[in-house]
Amino acid sequence: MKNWVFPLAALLLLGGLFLWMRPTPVASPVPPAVPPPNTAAMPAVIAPPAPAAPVSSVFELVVKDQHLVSGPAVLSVVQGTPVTIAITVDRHDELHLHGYDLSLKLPAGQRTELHFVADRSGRFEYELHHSHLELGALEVQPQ
Amino acid sequence: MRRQAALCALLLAGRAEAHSFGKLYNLPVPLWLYLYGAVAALLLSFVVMAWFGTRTPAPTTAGPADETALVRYPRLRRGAQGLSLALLGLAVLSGLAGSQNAYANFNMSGFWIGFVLGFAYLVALCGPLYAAINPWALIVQAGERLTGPWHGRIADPERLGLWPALTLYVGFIWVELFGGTGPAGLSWLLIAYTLINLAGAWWLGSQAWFKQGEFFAVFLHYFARCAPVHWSSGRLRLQWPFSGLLRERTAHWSGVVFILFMLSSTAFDGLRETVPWVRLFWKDLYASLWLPLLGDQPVEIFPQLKRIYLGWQTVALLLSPLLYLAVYLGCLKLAQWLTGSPQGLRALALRFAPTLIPIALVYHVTHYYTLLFTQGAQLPWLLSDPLGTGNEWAWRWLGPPRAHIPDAGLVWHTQVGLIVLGHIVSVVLAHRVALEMFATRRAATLSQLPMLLLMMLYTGSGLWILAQPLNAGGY
Repeated sequence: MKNWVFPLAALLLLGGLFLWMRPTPVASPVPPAVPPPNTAAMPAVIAPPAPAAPVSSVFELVVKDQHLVSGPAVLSVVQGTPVTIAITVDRHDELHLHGYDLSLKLPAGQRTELHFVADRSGRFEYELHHSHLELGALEVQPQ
Repeated sequence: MRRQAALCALLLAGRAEAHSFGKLYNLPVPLWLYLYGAVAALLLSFVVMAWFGTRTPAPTTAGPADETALVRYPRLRRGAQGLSLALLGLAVLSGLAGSQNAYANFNMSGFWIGFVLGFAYLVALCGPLYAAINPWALIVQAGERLTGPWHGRIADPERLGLWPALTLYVGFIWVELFGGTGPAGLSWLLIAYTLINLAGAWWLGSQAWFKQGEFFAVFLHYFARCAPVHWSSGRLRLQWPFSGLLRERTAHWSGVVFILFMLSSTAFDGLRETVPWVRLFWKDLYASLWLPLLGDQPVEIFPQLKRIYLGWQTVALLLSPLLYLAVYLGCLKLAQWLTGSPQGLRALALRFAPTLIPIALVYHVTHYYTLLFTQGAQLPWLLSDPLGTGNEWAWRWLGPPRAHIPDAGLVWHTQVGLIVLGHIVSVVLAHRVALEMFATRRAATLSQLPMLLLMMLYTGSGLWILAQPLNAGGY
């Protein structure tokens, strides 16, 4: 048997398997924009590269007594989504979002909003700086 | 309900104390890609088996230990040695005298990212650089120059195998994962490690110590064997990547456990950040064991629970290589039984152990490599102001520091690609070793079925850990 048969077989296998298993990319990051459950029946509608609809994701967080009393611990968005983190704390503090290197002063008892576009994919933890409180993580899925 | 709230508050507050250095921004690998990696690894393993079914490669020879790099270039070597000592000195000084902000002080990034990760991967690419510039060996040599050579206090240090190095390696990983060390703490650790090396070299003899006791030397020796180059007669020569491992012989059980700990410690570090691991202790066992056992007062039992958790994780870390060893020996036993080979289990375990190093290397790289881009990229700025005093003269040339966060999709694909690659390399190496260990090609192929199971278990668990959701916002 020729020397190249096995490497070729391996490459074909890897490539074929990849193409077969790879999910079809979902164009829109916003779930409400694609309500029909049987999307497989009409892929042509979603397949064209519709620009990611810049619908903002808003997360409401409330911190009381060193503790996240309301809001999710994982904020999951798709890359490119404008994000608003609205946070209310009972003690003056500062919010740090790692990776994006954003910080926001939080006056006590007031709802404060942080706006940014999630243009970097990855998993970014955020914390309350003064109370050393790890609040959660922003998970930005790549497009 | 209120009890739960109080508990959460405590748990969240407790989390921030256990801060390891360097932020990983990696997302869990999506399910389909995890499955793809596993299926690809399995299918390619059979391609490898079929390949070996049709040809017999030349037997490998147990080479002597690779030559140290740079023997032929005394000036270059002296320069590199000076640099190595200077960097160790700088790391110690900056930690003691400089900023205690881990991200502002040079020593944290220089040691944890530059040396432990960056230099290790450089060695895996460029061969045995470390033996030529090991700063602790240089310090011991300076001592020997004053007092005459250190031949050691015990007869036959060989019989200790790599146990001294393994002990230090386990201690190092523990400090890395649970030490919460800051810049000053790191400096004291480096000083302590220097003293340990002086004592160890005096006890075992300097020759033996830097082969069996200084764990960076052992760890980096294994990585160096993966390099596509090696040094022979003072010259740099090309070789197939990872083929240097075929010349490696494990002489002692401790070597087997050392290699398995290289695998299991990285796997454990990945596992402990995942939701299933955290949930096991803080949810499942919390309700069923800790509350009934320690009393129904979350606020009071929390400090105690935190200590138990540290002990729990420590025991898991210590047991992890034994779990890997049990699986390893089980599969080898099966191979022995399938082939009816007269080879003893010990002989098989020693001979096959180096074939697992590619999996250990790719585990390590996939888990940590993004830190080189995010935190390692800060090193030029940190070096320009090692104490972290805020002196920004370097910014004039370099501009302000930037974080390079690699695209998460790219990270996923490199992670899974590397794991599959490491798996295949290990399968190929094991098959080549089998052709030498077993009398017939049929026996060699048969022996590789349990080995394939073994490698699938190691690779599959590595992939599984990468695909798990990560714990967020405290326990």
